[in-house]
Amino acid sequence: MDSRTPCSLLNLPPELAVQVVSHLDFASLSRFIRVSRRCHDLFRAHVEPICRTVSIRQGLADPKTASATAALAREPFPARRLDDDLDPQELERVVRAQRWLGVDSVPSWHEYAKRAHSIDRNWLAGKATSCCLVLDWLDGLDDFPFAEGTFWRFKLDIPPGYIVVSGRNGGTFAFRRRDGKLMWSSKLPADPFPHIELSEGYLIQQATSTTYIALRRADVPGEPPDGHGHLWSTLSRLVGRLIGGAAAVGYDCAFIAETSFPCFASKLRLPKLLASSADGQQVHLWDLVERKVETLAVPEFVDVSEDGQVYYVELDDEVIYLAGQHGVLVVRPDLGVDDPLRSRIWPPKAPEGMRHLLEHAWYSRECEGVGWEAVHHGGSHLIGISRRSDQDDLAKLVWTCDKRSIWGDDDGAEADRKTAVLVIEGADPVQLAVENDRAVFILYDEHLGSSLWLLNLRSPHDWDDPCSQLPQPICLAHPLPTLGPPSRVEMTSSEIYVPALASFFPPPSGSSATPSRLSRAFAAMQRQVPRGKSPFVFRWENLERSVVNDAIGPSAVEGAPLPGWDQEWVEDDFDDLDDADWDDSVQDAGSCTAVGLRMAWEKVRAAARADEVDENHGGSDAFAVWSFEAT
Amino acid sequence: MSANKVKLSTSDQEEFDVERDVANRSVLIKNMLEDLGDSDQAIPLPNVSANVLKKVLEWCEHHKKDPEPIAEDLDDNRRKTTEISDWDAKFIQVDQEMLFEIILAANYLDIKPLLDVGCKTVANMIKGKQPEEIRKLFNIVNDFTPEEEAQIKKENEWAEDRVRLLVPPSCTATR
Repeated sequence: MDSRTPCSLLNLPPELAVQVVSHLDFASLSRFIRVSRRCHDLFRAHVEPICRTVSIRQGLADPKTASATAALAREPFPARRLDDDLDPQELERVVRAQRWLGVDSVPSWHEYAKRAHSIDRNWLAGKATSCCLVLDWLDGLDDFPFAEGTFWRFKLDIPPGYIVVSGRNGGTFAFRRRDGKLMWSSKLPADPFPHIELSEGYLIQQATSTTYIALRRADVPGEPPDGHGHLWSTLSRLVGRLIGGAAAVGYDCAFIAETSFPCFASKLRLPKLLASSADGQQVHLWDLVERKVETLAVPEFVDVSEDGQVYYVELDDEVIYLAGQHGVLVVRPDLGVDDPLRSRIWPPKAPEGMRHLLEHAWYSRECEGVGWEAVHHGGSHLIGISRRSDQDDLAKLVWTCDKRSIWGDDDGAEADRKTAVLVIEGADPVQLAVENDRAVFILYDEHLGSSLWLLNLRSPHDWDDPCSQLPQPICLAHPLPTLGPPSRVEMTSSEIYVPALASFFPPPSGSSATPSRLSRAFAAMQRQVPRGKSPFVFRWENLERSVVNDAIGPSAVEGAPLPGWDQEWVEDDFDDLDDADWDDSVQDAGSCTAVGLRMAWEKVRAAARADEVDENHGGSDAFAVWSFEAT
Repeated sequence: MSANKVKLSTSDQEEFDVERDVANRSVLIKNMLEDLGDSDQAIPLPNVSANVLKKVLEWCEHHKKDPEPIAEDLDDNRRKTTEISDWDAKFIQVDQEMLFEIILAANYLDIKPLLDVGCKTVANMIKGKQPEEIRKLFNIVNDFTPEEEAQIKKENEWAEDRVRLLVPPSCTATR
């Protein structure tokens, strides 16, 4: 036998000890370094490689593919030996890929781990700080008398740290996140309530119903436009005039996409731009980097929607999604129309053998009178929201944790197993965003206002038993500072943006202005909504709930309804309230019954009328921002 | 001896006749065999004792048909970092000294997957435990003063599992 001292944890060579601790999570690591001096010294001596490996293994260094396709953002993480130098460019790349608005670099992996881990923990806990960002339109309105200082849709432009909005009456405006200052503007698009698409420095401007102009920010590498000769240069000059402000900050025309049919819905995830005809029968799919276009005929869409209307389109690296009245058609454009593998309907259709049991009700599958408002994917997840159906008056959020399962076995059993349905009573989901294993959605009820909800998704690796451990929806805010349903929600890996009205917020601290009636009524309602309670009831179900009985169907999560919640109050008429009821002094702070909450929202609306805040114009002039960064 | 067998000699002078496929799991041995060509000479492994080599060869025997690992990449298995196959988990149920000997031997013999199994096993022993439990498990003396320990706890508070707030604060937006 050799005569070495018995082997133990602390006399492993450092290279091996570091390999051991690199398999820990951060919480275990923080306890390990408190064990003894040698443990602490080991960590201090190799803090950079340890923090790098643990961050990568915990998924904290994954690229956040906010609006590009996943393939574009993916770079492998090579394993490194302890004496290898770390690559500073790798850390820069990882930080940039987090899409933290306004944070371009961190000095070390240790600092990176601190930041990314705290943000991750805050998401899990639903712990956010909120603030109001008021947009400063003054500079922009001289050129745009029609703009009236409100916007409709928006996208986040990172790295410059801008929020790019489409004016409610047209035009495009970019505001700086830091202070709401207007940075540039463009006269396109010319129609009211315009859509906006922006991804990785590419901005799409719809010039006519058959023309999209793709602009590229100057700092984004790419080929100059080519192939159009004289026509192109004329067009380019014309575009330059229209996009004046954008051209001044360096946007240049990168591509002009013309279609043979009027386009209704579009989606940009660099490198791909998708545009669909209103009836979903024809779809253009451009590759803006390769400058190629594919035109697809989608006859299958008829099966989904009798009225032939596409509500929403989405795309990822492999497939396109067309959402309609009864479901979402998922198409693999690389396969021919006759290929049986080319398309699927989602949420998954019932397996053949079960259809006779379903009678007229498809429940969460294809449902009469359901509109699929939005469908989004993030990582492996696919989520869609539908408004309350005529049949059961329930709204639904359908979540398939492994979107590839849609293409799984023929009878759809795999997709069934990996799909859960969040059933929502009492409100419509109106907006949805999905990024990085998190989903955010907005519920709207005309009597109770709108609210912002967070779902922390989990990886399909933990999906052995779909009925257990379904995430509890976390209410981040109720009510939201907006009268109608918000026009959008966007999220990054650390923030959520919701369009808002500045008049809901009190004057800045230090200002001598008195708070408006609206801001007081709003603050009163905020105080009134008890933490952890919701006027809405949730439950998780599987797709077969109408067939299998409740005992089998999951009911892991129940919303906690408010005391006094019942249906009767919904029928009450609030028009005959006395004037005194509207007085702030009568406000029954802390009364969290459903009636009290409804009365509070009526007061907010009455205050908005009194303050002459236009309830119906549909635009917003500010953002409510929730930040999950460490405080 | 037969062409598909190799002879290994341990630090305590024991000799093992091993199938080439099995011995090739060790990148060290594989490279030596390639350098040596066909030879009857025993390959000396001065850093590995017989009882440890026996255990390591047991692992190599079970995994001799595994595909060659492709380029080292932290991506592939990072999500499943604690996952160890059932057979490996059973195999690695040994006393602590043997566990660390296996780690050292796997490192010396350059058997990356076995090294990973060993490191993950130790990490799993540490996971979820309080510092005092870790000290007890690995027989480590706490040589911090209480002040030092408090200081280190404070410095690394960011990494701790904080109580999960299932009830978030409501929106209190101000301008």
